[in-house]
Amino acid sequence: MGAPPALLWLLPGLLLLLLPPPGKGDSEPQCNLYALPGCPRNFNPVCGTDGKTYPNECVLCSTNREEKRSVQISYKGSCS
Amino acid sequence: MPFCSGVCGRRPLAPSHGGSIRVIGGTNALPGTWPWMVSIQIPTRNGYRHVCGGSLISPRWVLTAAHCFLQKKFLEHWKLVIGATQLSQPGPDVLERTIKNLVEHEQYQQRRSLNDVALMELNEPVNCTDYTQPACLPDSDVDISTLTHCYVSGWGVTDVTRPSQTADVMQEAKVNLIPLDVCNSSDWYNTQIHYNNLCAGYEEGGIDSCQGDSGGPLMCREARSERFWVVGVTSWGAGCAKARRPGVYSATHLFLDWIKGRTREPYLNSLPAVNIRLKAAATGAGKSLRRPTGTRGDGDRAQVALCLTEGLWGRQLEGQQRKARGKSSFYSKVVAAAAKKQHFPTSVAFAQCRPVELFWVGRGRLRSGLQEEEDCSVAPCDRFAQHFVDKVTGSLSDLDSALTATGVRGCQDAVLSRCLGYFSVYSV
Repeated sequence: MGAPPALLWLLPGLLLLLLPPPGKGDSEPQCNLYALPGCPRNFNPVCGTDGKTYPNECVLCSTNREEKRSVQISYKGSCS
Repeated sequence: MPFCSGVCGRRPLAPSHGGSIRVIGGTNALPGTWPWMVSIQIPTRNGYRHVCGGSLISPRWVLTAAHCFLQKKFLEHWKLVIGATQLSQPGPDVLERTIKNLVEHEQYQQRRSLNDVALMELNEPVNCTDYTQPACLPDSDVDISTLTHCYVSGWGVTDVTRPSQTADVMQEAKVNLIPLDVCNSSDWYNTQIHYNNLCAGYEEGGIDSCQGDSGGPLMCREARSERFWVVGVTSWGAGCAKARRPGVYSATHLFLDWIKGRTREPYLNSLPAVNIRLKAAATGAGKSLRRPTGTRGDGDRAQVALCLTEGLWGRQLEGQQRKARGKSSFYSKVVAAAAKKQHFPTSVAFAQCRPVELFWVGRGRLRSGLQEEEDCSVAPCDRFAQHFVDKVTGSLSDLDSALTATGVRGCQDAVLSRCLGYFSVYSV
């Protein structure tokens, strides 16, 4: 399928506009980075695949651990 | 002129705020209450968002936590907001800076949050104002475990049921230091707390720092001092404000050498550098230092009172020598003697000092036991100062009886601080 060249030029710009939620597609939280029985207290919220906002990735991981489930990260940032 | 006259940990606006004193379970801080607080903000598509806190420790350096930089995209666009209380309405006194230089602790370990400290050099130094003051760093003279007045502050999450919401108005809360052996006991964190951390909060929970408070200060003052030390850097915790899961902080005093080495700046103790020198001069010279009419006591416990103006505090003595010339002969004597590390002239008597200039150096700290009660007028303060000048000869028991005799003992802490703030006590 041949897209007109002009459209190809526009594509990166269009993608940028579409970015919120940035990092399309669910991603697995990197829970192996957190070995403590707690979480760092930085605020870098992530939106979980359960539609809930977690104040950072670690909190998502520890909630998963406590509730024996595997919510993933929908995107970085608070759920809109 | 040194930054903030070389005095750290001071809160020019706090006394006028009265006794008010998420952070979870905290209260709104009033402007100027914690003038070293910094909000670290990152650019997002919805504007800047607060990520972490930090503490101003010099005109150009901010102490914070290393884990605040795990995602450091666009670091050059990060914003440091200094002197703010309400982030949405910063006001004219608020300063914004960018990060010229980031120094993360070389041994920071993410998995266990070890050595969770970092330093940010500001693109441009800040001026000293009522809203912008450096906190003190605790040096080895500070016995952290004895500090009773500790607070945390920040713009972090205030309600764990609304984890996407950080505070707009800075929150503050009083917390207790919790001994590491308690914090590491099996019902608590069960040996997971490293020795270069501090725990602070409450056994029953309810009040704690939380996500968004990282990097911010755990700050304490001694009972009699008005100056604050940043004894901890907010690092981590299990949930927020849960019972027997207090906040965990990087213990600043164990990173002091690292901080000094990386920033290469002179830091001030809450009691300024001049006193360190005086201490050196006083040590081993107790006998000649004691006032001739002083009570008898062993040499080690000899107390020395010196007159020093606040303006003199923290400046280098040698530099002061010249300036002191032409002022009262008292200053010249003290400054000259201290600069040469000589004994202080015994002719320097208390009576030569104005009460507020009295300065107390000695082994041991003031005895506690002063109750916080309802308001006292300033009158007992004046009586106390006068009594101090007239009667006190240099021993702790004299000071103690002076407190009783003048009615200061019963005063509220705020009044006491006003009375005694000038009389900082220091161990020799």
